[in-house]
Amino acid sequence: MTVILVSSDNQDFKVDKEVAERSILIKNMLEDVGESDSPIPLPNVTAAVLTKVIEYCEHHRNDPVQVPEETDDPRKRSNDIEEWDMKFMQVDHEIILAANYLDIKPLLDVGCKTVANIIKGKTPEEIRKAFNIVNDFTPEEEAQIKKENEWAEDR
Amino acid sequence: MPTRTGPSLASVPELLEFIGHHLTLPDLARCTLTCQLWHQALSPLLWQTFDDSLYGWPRIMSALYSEAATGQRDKAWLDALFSRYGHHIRTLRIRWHSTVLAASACGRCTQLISLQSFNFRESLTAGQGKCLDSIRLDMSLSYLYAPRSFDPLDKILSGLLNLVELSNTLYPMDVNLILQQLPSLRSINGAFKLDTSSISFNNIRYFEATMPLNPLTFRQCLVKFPNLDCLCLERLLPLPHPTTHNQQQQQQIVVQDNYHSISYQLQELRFTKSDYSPTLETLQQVLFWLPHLRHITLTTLYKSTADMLVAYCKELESFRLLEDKGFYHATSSFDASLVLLQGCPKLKVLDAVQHQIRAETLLASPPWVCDRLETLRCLIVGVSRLLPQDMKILNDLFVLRSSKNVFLTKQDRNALQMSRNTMGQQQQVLERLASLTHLKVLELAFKQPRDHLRRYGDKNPYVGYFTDTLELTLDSGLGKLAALKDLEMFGFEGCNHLIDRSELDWMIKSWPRLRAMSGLRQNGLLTSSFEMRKADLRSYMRQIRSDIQQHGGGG
Repeated sequence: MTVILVSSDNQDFKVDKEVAERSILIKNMLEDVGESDSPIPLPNVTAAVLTKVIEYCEHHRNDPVQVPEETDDPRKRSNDIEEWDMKFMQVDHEIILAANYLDIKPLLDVGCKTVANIIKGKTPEEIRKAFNIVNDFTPEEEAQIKKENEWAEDR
Repeated sequence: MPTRTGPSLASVPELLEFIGHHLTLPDLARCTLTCQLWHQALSPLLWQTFDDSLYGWPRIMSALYSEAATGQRDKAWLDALFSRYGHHIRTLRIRWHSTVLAASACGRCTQLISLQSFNFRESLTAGQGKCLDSIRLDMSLSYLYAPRSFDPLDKILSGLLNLVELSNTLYPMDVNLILQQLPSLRSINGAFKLDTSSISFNNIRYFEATMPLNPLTFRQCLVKFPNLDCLCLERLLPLPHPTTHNQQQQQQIVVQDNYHSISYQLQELRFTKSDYSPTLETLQQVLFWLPHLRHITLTTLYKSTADMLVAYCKELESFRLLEDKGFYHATSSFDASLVLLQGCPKLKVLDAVQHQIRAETLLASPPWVCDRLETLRCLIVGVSRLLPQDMKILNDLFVLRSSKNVFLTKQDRNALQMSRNTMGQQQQVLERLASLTHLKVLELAFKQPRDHLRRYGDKNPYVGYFTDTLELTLDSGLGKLAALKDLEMFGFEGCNHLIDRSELDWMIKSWPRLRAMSGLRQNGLLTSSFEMRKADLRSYMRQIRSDIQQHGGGG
């Protein structure tokens, strides 16, 4: 059984239902609608990103559905990204936004880990460069926060 | 990068939080420095868990304890941190008291879901409590937040099935209930509501009461915990004036239990509040029931108290006088500890270093019966010492001794007589001490707290010793102490001693088991001649026997 997804730029994607349902958003929508052939519009996702997301979901279609483990400390797991996922994520941060919107938890996790790995060990200035962040602190504010964070400096 | 259609990743707080979960705290801290939005989004994560044993905290916290200006600055900084970010803290792990103070002063830690105090030997979270064997709910926790009800704590406690020690000064507990739930408990400390019910608990060996007891409630404790070894208490108040009601109660006890004829197994009784001492009558009332008492710790010692101990506690093995860490003033009368040396044949420990014994009384005391004494810590004062002018005369005589026809002036003869008397008395004192041949620990004075010394102002800055104490030289009879073959610790901190290298050599030769000393470490300004002499001896000891531990000093 297949479903049709429509990207924000009006491209249709024909996808196996099983694959599409890796997205909790889509799964819920399908359940709400019931048996229906009508295409599903995804106004927040471009065709380029949707292609990537579908690629991910195809690759992981046989993975068991993730059960969230509350007690597991995610910090310990930030390095265990599969090689395939790693290459996949190098493409675009926008996939993370899509994963968030489409509610695909494993993809969101992989995305966040990837970004976290980029941040690790960088100075604030380096982080700003990597993410196009404009420093909107006044010099006084910046000095204050710097002083506040003294305890967390690696020594 | 391709053009973006939606918002950028860096501007979605929700996503930043997801990412933050994969970062360490130092990384998070650097992220909060990038821009306002990241600061806002990531500060809750950065502060979610506050553990003062991690990252820079130990360094900062230990600086807080120093009196230096940096410590003071850090304190204001810490307070500001807590008032700005305290509301983010969900888990607080405390090992430093400064953290408790700052966290409680800000009053902002309203979101706490887990609290691990420095007093908890292990954490209580995530089922680890099952193997917990000791827990301390300290009163300081109430500064952090005032829970509306202690039921959750009661619930946690009732699940700790292996708990052996429970200390709870946080809230009054129902002692019957908790002991029924936790038969594993051996030791409890805190304020408990004692009832008159007949339930007794055989497992409790140690009980420290932080509520005041009177002889009646004292008795109730002994009935409730029949196998108690050690009872510690802060206050033992006299029985309240008889009203009709409690007169009945008292009579009941007298009649039912035959007030005077019963006795309990208690071995140790400790008073724990240094500024409180029970009246003689009240103490007498309880000692009556305790013929098996072996160890007692009191806060004052008068001759009448000592007489009473000799009369009631035939088994007494150790007597301790709680040290007053603050301002020293002789609260107890002189010489009372001599009564114990004369009257307690089983005494092994007399630990009363702040208690003064005058040399004259010591020499006049009848023979000591405690020939198994292993520890003696007391302050022997009133020793006659040569005045500086006598010393000078004697020195001059010593120089002139070679020429035969020395005419002794009256002054010279007086000085010589003084010298003989002084040396004689010191030798006799040391001879008495030498009769305690099983001594392992001998300390003859103590370090006065610096605050006390400052009182004398510029006139006598930091003279950390009592002037009329033993000089402990070979000339004044130190050699008598060669009988103390078992001596392991010799303390002369606070003595106005004249120990020199030859005395140190003698000690090492005569006491083969010696492994610790106190009195050579610096305890005052290095400019004083006394301290300079000590510094020389210190370095000498380091050369010849660096393995002997040096205690005391500092402050």
